[in-house]
Formats: sequence, C-alpha cells, structure tokens
Amino acid sequence: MKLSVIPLLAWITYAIIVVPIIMVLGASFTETRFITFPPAGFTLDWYSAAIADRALMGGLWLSTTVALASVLISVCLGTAAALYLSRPRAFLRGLLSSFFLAPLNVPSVMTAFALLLAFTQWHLINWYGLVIAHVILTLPYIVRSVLVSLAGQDQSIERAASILGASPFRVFWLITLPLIRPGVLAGATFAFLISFNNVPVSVFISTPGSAPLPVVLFNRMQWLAEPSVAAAAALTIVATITVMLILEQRFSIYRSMFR
Amino acid sequence: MSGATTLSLRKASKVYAGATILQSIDLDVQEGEFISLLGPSGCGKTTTLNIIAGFVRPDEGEVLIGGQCVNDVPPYQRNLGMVFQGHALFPHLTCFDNVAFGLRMRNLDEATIRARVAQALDLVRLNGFDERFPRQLSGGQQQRVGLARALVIEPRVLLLDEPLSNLDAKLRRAMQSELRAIHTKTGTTMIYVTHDQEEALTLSDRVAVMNAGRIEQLDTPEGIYRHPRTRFVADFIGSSAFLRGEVGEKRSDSILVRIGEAGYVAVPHYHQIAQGSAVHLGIRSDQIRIDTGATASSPELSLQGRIVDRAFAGSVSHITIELTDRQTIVVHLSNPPDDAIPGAAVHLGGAVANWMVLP
Ligand SMILES: Nc1ncnc2c1ncn2[C@@H]1O[C@H](COP(=O)(O)OP(=O)(O)O)[C@@H](O)[C@H]1O
Ligand SMILES: [Mg+2]
Repeated sequence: MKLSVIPLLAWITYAIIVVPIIMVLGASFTETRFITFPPAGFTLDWYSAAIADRALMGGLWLSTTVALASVLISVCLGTAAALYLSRPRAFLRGLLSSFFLAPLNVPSVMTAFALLLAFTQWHLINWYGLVIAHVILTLPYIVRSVLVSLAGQDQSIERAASILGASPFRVFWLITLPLIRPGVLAGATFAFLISFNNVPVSVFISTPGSAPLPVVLFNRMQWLAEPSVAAAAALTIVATITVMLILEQRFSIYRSMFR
Repeated sequence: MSGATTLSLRKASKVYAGATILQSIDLDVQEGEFISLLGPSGCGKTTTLNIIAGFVRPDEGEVLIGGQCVNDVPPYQRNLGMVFQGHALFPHLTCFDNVAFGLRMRNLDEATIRARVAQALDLVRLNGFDERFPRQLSGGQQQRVGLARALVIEPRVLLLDEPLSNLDAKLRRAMQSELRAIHTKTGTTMIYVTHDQEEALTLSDRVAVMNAGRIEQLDTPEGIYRHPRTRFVADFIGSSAFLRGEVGEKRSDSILVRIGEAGYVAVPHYHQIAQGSAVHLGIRSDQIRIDTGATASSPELSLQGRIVDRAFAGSVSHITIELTDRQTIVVHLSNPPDDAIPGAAVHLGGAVANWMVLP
C-alpha cells in the first residue's frame, strides 16, 4: 500500500469521530422549532430551554448521582478483585483474568433483561436498582485497568517496602495504591462514562417519571425532537470532553489503560 | 570479625510443585562478615535469600537471627536490609523519600531522618540527588540509592541479590570496590548473591558455592579456588581439566594415579584413596605445563598425548590435547612454544601440589 494513503485514512477517521459531535452542537443553535443541520440561524434559546426543563435536569441529576455512586462501589470492589487476581495462587486466576482482559461481549440488552426480571420482583426499579445495574456494567472495566497496571509491576518493590519495616497495610497504602493509582483513575473514568451514557440497561430499570439523562434524551428524540434535546446533549458532550482532557493531562489515564 | 554468629540457616529446605529447590541448607554467618552465595542461575540463591528475608517460608528447617528462630517473624519485623537485582526503588518517591522510607517506618523524628538520609546518600556518593526521582537516575545511581535505602536502617544483615548484574562490566567493577569500601567502613554483615565467580572471589570473606539447591563448598575464596572439594566447584570456579584414573602405588610424599596408557600422575599423599580404586583428578587449566621435546624435560611431565587444536584467546592460548588413552584436556598457556601445533606429540603434567582428587 502506498503510504500516502495513511494520512488520508486518518483524516477520514477523525471526521467519523468529530462530525456527529459537530452536528449535535450545530443543531442546538438552530432558530427552528425542530432539529435540523446545518442550523437555520443562531440562538442560545434552546440552552435556556434545556436548563429550565425539569425532566432534562432531573435526568442529568439522576445520571450524575447514579454514575458517581456506581463508580465508587465499582472502584472498591474492582480494585480488590484485581489485587486478588494478580496473586500467583488466586482461585481460577488464568480463567478469570482472561475473562476480564478479553473484550467484554455479553450484549447489554441481555444483561438488562435479566436485571429487569430480578429487580421487578425485588422492587428495585429505582435509584438503588440503577446503581446496582451500573456496578455490574462498569466493574469489568475497573478490574481490567487495575489488572493491566498491576501486570507491569515488579513485586520486589512491595518486598522492598516490607523488609524496610512496612506492615502489609502500610505496604498497600504507601506503595501498592500509589503505583496502581493511574489504573484505578483510568478505570474509574471509563466506568463513569459508561454509566453516564448507558441507555439499554437504564431504560429497563427506570420509570418514565424518573429516568437518567440518556434515557430522557432517547425518549424525547422519538416523540418531541426539539433542539433543546440537542442543547442538553451538547452540554454533556462538552462537559465530558473537558473532564477527560483534564484527567488525561493530569494523570495520563489512557496510557495506563492501554499500555 | 568478632566471631559471633549473626545469622544461621539450619537444614532449610524448600519444595516448589514437587521439585526440591533447596536441600537442607546449613549456613552460619559471622558478625561483620561478607559472605557470597555463588552458583549458576536457578540453583536456589534467590530462594535462600527470600527465606532469610522472610518472603518465603522454608518447608523444613529454621532461620536464626542472633540465635533466635525467626521462622514466624514477618519480614517487616526482621530488621534486615535487602538490595534487589532490579533496583526496586519506589518510583513515585524521590531519592530522599526512598532512603527515608525505612526510617519513617521506625517512627523516627524528621530531624534524625534528615541527618541519617544525608549520611547514607553521602556514603554512596549521591549527595545532592535528594529531589530526583528514580527514573531520572542512571542504572548505577539507582543501585546506589537502593544500597543507601537498605543501609540507612542499620540492618542486622544486608542481603544483596545480584545487585550489579544489570550494570555494564566497567561500572560493575567500580561498584564492586565501592561496595567493598562500604563494607569496611560500616562493618555491616553482608550476604551477597552472585553467579559471577570473579565477583564472589574478589569481594568475599567466604564463599558458599551452590549447585542444584545445595551448598557444595563453603570456604575462603582462596580455599575454594585452590582446594575445590567437588568436581562441580572445580569446574565452576576458574577453568579446570579433568582426568579419570586408577589409584596405584603410594609413596611417602605422593600417590601415583595411572591414566591408562598415557602415563601416571603424582598427587598429594594426604588424599584418602584406596589402591586400585577409580578416581577423578582435576587441575587448573593454567597449571598444566607441556613440552614438545622428544623426552620429558622434567619428571612432572609424566603424561603423553598429541595436540589436536590450538586457539588464540587473548592473554592465553587454548591448546587441546588428546592423551594416549584418548581422554582430552584443554591447557591454557600464556607462551606456547611455536611448535605446539596440531599433530605435535607432547609431554605434559603439573606440580604434585596442583593436582586435585575429586569424588
Ligand atoms: N515461586 C516459585 N514457584 C515455583 N518455582 C520457583 C519459585 N521460585 C523459584 N522457583 C524455582 O526455583 C529454582 C531456584 O530459583 P532461584 O532461587 O530464583 O534461583 P537463582 O536465584 O539461583 O537463580 C528455579 O528453578 C526456579 O524456577
Ligand atoms: Mg536469582
């Protein structure tokens, strides 16, 4: 293959990623009452409409609290699981590690269906149910990224701390944890995004009156495609990208996720 | 050396997955001593250190520190120091904090910590590197921080697991003499693991030669070199030639060993060997002399053979000789005669005292 094709393919790739974002942003500025691209005219009215919309803002609040709670739980459980799995004599170590490290491909609609059956019985179609469901969704990402960051670790570093007088608790707190911090942060970031953007599972475990933001957007797009939907989406996209860039700048999370 | 035993292993054994990795290791390390564990890769040196450090529990036997069995004492309460093969510095801490780590674990006050860290960094000639992170240091500097970090806590015994093996040859030699100087200065008892015989011989007060999970011989470097007790030791330390023979006549000052039709060799009389029994003899490759003349110029040159190869190897030439009884030995000569070329018939042998009788 002629190598000059490579930059061209790269630009096509960039376009595929960026164009939908530009379309959402563009559509949010239109002066029409329906979503259109390119936008007709320019107005910020749809942003004020979105912010005044109680269903949208309720969804945003729900999404944020569910994501934060589920990530917190996932980080604790997933980090512990990864630490255990990295031990030479862990139960089913090989099998479980490859399970977590392999691309995860249980279709989320299946997961959602199973959860719907169970949670209906247990009266968990509420905030708690959403958190539990999102923990299930995000846990593998945390385990994965912590496992990856542990794999590059020299076990003699922990031994060095131990022989210098550090009890197992201090070894963990002063040495192990700081060393896997990038992996934990990377996992937490991805987990947050996955939780925050999830539709297929959330749609089953929420009620029309209180649904997370992506579910609200999804429903609105079907019934009432006002540009305020695009404005809400644009706000989330911008917030997400900003947070990711800050985290990447501060902690190089991508490198520790994929090295 | 005060003569007090600081650390002992008593019949320490370890089995991994059915394979015996260490077989009944006995070792007594004296206060202030520099002792090396020398052996090929995989012979169990690191496992021995790990048992001493408490990272690995022996399946049998015990570890004694100052006469007390410490089998049930965890590593963080053994008050030992360790320098690892890959420096194992804490990558997220500066040099200062790396060295201070052990002192902080001992809850010393900041002023004492600062003074002792400065002293330790001074000892390894790294003053002024306090704020650097490990990744900003060269390999030799990293290993020196590792050394300072282990020494600063004034450990009962300092364990060093091939600390110089990742450094290039020149730096390694410089670090060896530095280590020797630090040992003299601090008087710390050191157990040094290496697979490099020269390193072990130059650094140590005593050397334990290990093979396949056992200590084959524990002696001074000179004792190990001059009087190897097993064929493995003779082969691993320095370069030796080996011959099979049969014990013959015993004289007042020597014993004759017949090497088939090639002749005989006189070995020191103190060896306990029975007449008629088969023995293995060894001799340092550079202690064999040869003579290409028609008759032997000295009674020591009592073997006969023919040169089959001659190879130049820098300071010496390697001359391969097939003896009349078809055994082959390699001789290292710094000034081989010009006519010592393949095909030439030679007389060869070595001084009585230089022949070793091996089991
Ligand atoms: N945790 C372990 N599990 C199984 N085998 C091991 C373990 N640690 C060491 N071994 C084996 O024990 C032998 C000795 O290892 P080691 O003490 O590291 O040797 P050395 O340091 O002399 O190179 C090797 O054959 C190694 O494969
Ligand atoms: Mg080793």
